[in-house]
Amino acid sequence: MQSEHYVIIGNGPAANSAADILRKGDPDARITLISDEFFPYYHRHLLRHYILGKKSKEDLIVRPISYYRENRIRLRLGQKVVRIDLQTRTVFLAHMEKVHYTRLLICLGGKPRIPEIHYVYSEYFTAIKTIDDAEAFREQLPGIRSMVIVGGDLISVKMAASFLETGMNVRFLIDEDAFWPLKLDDDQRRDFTERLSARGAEVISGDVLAGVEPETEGGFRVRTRNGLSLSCDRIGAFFGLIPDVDFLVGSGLDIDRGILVNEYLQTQFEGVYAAGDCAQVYNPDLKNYWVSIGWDNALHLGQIAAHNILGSDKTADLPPLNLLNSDGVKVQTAWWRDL
Amino acid sequence: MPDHSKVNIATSRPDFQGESTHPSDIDSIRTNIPCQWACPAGTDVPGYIEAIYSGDHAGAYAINRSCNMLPGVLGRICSRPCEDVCRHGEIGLGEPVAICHLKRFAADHAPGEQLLASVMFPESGKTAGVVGAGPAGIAAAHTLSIFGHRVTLYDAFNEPGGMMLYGIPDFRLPRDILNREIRNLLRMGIERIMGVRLGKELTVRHLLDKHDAVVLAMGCYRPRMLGIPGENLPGVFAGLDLMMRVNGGETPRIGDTVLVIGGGFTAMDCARTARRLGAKNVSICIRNVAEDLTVTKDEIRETKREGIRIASLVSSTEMIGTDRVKGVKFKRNRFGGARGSSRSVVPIEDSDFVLQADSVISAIGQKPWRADLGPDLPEDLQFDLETGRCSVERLFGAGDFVRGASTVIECIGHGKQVAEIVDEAIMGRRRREKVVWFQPAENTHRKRTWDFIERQEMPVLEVTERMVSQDTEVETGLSPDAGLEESRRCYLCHLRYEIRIPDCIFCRWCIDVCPRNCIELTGGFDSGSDLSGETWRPTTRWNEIAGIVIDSERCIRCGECLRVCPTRCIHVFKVTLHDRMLPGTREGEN
Repeated sequence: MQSEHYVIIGNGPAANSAADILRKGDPDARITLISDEFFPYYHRHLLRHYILGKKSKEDLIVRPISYYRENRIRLRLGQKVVRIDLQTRTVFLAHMEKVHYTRLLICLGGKPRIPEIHYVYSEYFTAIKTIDDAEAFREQLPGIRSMVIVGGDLISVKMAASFLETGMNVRFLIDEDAFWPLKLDDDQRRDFTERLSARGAEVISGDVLAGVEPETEGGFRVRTRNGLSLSCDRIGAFFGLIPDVDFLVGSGLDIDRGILVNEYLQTQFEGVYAAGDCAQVYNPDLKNYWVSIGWDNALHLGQIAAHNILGSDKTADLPPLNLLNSDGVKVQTAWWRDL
Repeated sequence: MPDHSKVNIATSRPDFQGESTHPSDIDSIRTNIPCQWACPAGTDVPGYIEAIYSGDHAGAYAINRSCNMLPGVLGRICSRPCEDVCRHGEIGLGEPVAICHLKRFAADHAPGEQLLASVMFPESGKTAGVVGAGPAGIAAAHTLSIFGHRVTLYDAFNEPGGMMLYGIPDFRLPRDILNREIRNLLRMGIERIMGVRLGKELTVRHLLDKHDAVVLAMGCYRPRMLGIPGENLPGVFAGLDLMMRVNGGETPRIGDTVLVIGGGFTAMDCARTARRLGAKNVSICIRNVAEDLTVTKDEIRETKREGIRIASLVSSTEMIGTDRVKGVKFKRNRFGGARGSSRSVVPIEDSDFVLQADSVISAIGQKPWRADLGPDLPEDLQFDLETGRCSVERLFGAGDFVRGASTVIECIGHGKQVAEIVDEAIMGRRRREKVVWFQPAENTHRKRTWDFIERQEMPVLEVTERMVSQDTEVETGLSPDAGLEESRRCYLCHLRYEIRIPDCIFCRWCIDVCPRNCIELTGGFDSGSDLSGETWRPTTRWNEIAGIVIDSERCIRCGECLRVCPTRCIHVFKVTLHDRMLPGTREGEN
C-alpha cells in the first residue's frame, strides 16, 4: 500500500501542532509543510521586542530547522500555494510546481483586516503581522517620530506600549468599530483609554478616520470626521486579523469568512481539513459557525485536525467566552460569530 | 444553399483575405475571442479596445453602439459576462481586462452625438409594434427599424427606459446619460406611444390588427414573494417597488435599521439606496455566502464600503410585528447535503434568532407580468426562449418577459435576436447572417511587458461625498492615462497566429520562446464531425510529426513566435464577426 502524504499549508502553530501529531500517529507517512514565509516557525507576539532590538531574529524561532529533519518532516519555506485542485488532489505552487497529497490540512492563518470603508487608503497603512513586516519597520524605526494608530486591537495596544518606550509620539484614533470583533461597552472603552493615556499615548475617542493624504516631504496627513488634521510619519492599521483565504474562492471549498468546516474540522471534500485562524468551524451547541484568531486556539485546532486525519472523531472546543479580563489585555484569543 | 466552404487559413497564402459562414469558422470566434462570444450582444471587445489604444474614442464608441446600443449605460451597469472569460484572467495570467470600465471610458471621451455605423435596409413597407420600452424592447425596436420597418414603441410609463430607468438607482446610472443614449436610438423614426398599458388602453389583438408583427417585451415587474408570515406588514417593501418609488422622486421613510433580504443587483441597490435615505444600519441577508452572489466584486466592495453588512448563511422565516414590522426571524444555514457535491445550504434546526428592524426590503427577484394579454389569447401562452415565437402567429416575446429576470445586456442581446426572427417572419426569408472576416494583419504592436500591467481600478467618490444625494454618481470614470494604460492590457484576441506548415522547417524556435506553451508539434488533424472545430494529436516523436500548430485557445497573441521565426512562416490574421446582408437584399441609404 502506498503510504500517506500529508500536505499542510502553513507553518504556524496550527500547522506545527498538527505535524507533530501526524508524525507520532503515522511514523511512515510523508509530511510536508509549505509556507510562503522564508523564516521558520516563530513567535508572533515577540515581534514587538524584535522591532525594538530587544530580541534577535533567532530568539523568535519556536523550533529549529533540525527538528524537522529529525522528525522527517519536509519543510518548504518561501513557497506560495496559489491554487488547489481538489479533484486531482493537487496543490499548485507559485513557481509552477505541483504537489500531490493524500490528505490536506489548510492552516493559512490570518491577514490584517482593512475595513472596506478604509480600503482606498490601504497603500498608506502600515500593518505588522509577519516577520518581514517587522523587519521593514525595524529598519525604518529611527526615522519614525510619530505614529497615528487607527482601528485598535489587542496587538496594537502592546505595539503602542513598545513604540512609546522609544519616545515616539503615538496617537490612537478609537472609533465605534475599534477593537473589532469585540464590542466594547463604555466602561471597557474608558478603561482602555485610561491605560493607554497612562503610558503616554494620546487617545482620540469617538472620531473616525475620514481621509489620508501623503505629504510631499514624507509622512502622512490624517483627517478625521470631526475635522482634526493629524500629521505623522506612519499610520499603523490595526483592525484585527481575518482568515487569509481569498485565493481559495472558486476552488470548490465552501468559503464564507473563512474555510467552512464541520465540528471535526473537515471540509466538504474527503481528506481535506482546515485549522487555525483560517477555519470557520461549525459548533452544534452554538448552532453556528465561529472563527477564532489566536495562538492557543490554533494549537488546539491543529491537534484536533491531525487526530481526525488519523481516524479519530474529536470535536473542536470553543475558546473561552470572556475575552477581556479586568486587569488588562492578557487574553490573546478572540472569537467572533457572524451577527 | 448556404456557402459552407471552410477557410483553412493554416494553408492559405499570407495575404489571404476572405469571409466564411462555415460553422467551424463561426465557432472560432468562441474559442479565439471569448469575450465577444460571451457578450449576449456580441460586442466586438478587442476591436473597441484597440480603437481606444489608438486614441479613436469615437470609433470605440461606434463599435459598441452598433453591437450593444447603449455603451454609456452598459459601461456602468453591465453584469460583464465578458470579463469572466477574458483570457487575461486565466490562471497565472493576472486579472481580466476592465472591459466594462473601458466601454464607459470610450463613452466618456467620445464626442457628443454619434451617427449609426450599422448598414441600413431599404424601407420595407411593413410595420412592427413593440410593447415595453425597456432594454429588450428598445433593442428590438431599433433593430427592426434598421431592417427598414416602421416601428411603434408602446410603454405603460411616460418615459422609455423600463428597468434601467425605474430599477437602477441614479448613483449607478445618471439619468442624463441614459436618456441621451435612448433618445439616440429611438430617433431613427421610431414612433413612441407612452403611458398606455396592455390590458387597459391596448390589447394584443388590436396591435396584431395594426402591425405586421408584435413583440411583447414588458419585462419582469411582479415581485417574488418570500412566502413567510408577516410579509404584508407595513414597513416591508418589495425591492423593486422601493427602487421605483425612489427613482420616481419619492423619499420613503425607512428608519434607522434596515434589513434587505436577497442577494442580487436589486438587493445591493436597495441597501445602498436605504443608506442614502438615511438608514444607519443596513444588512443584506443572504442564504448562502458572498461567493454565490451574482453581482460583480466591485459592487460588493462598494456596498461594504458604504457600511453595509452582508449577513451570510441565514434564511428568513417570519416577519415579526403586529401593526408594523419590528424585525425578522431567521434560521441559520450551514453547508450540507452530500459531501463534495454542489453548494447546497440546509437550515440548522432550532437555530432561530430575531433581528430588529425598522424596515425590511424583500428583494429576491421578479416574475414576468402575464395578466391581461387579451380575451382571445390562451392564458398560458408559451414563448420559445430563443426565438421568442409563440403559438399565436406574428406575436413574439423578448427579454425578461419570456426568459425571466436577467440583466440589461442579456435583454439587449435577446431583443436583437428576436428582431432578426421577426424580420424573417415578416419578409418571408432571412435577410442578414453572421459572417467571419479574415484579413491579413501586422504582428501585434503590443509589448510583452504590457502583459504585466495591473488592472486599473475604477476611481470612486469618498463615502461621505456619495451620501449627499441619490443622484451623485459613485464611480467617476477612468482618467485618460488610466484608460490608455488599461487598453494596453488587452491581448487583442481577434488577432490569430497561424503557422503555414509548408514553409516551416521545424526549427522549434517558436516553441522555445512561447511563454504559454501553446505551440505544439502534431501527428495529424481530426475534423469534428459536426463541422465545428478541429482537433490535433500532439506528438513529440520525430517520425510522427505531420505538422505544427498554435493553440489559439491558449495563445496570448504576444507575437514572440513571429519575431523569432527564421522562415517567416507564421502569419497573422485579424478575425472579426460581422452581419452580412444576404444576396437579393439591396443596401439602403444610410
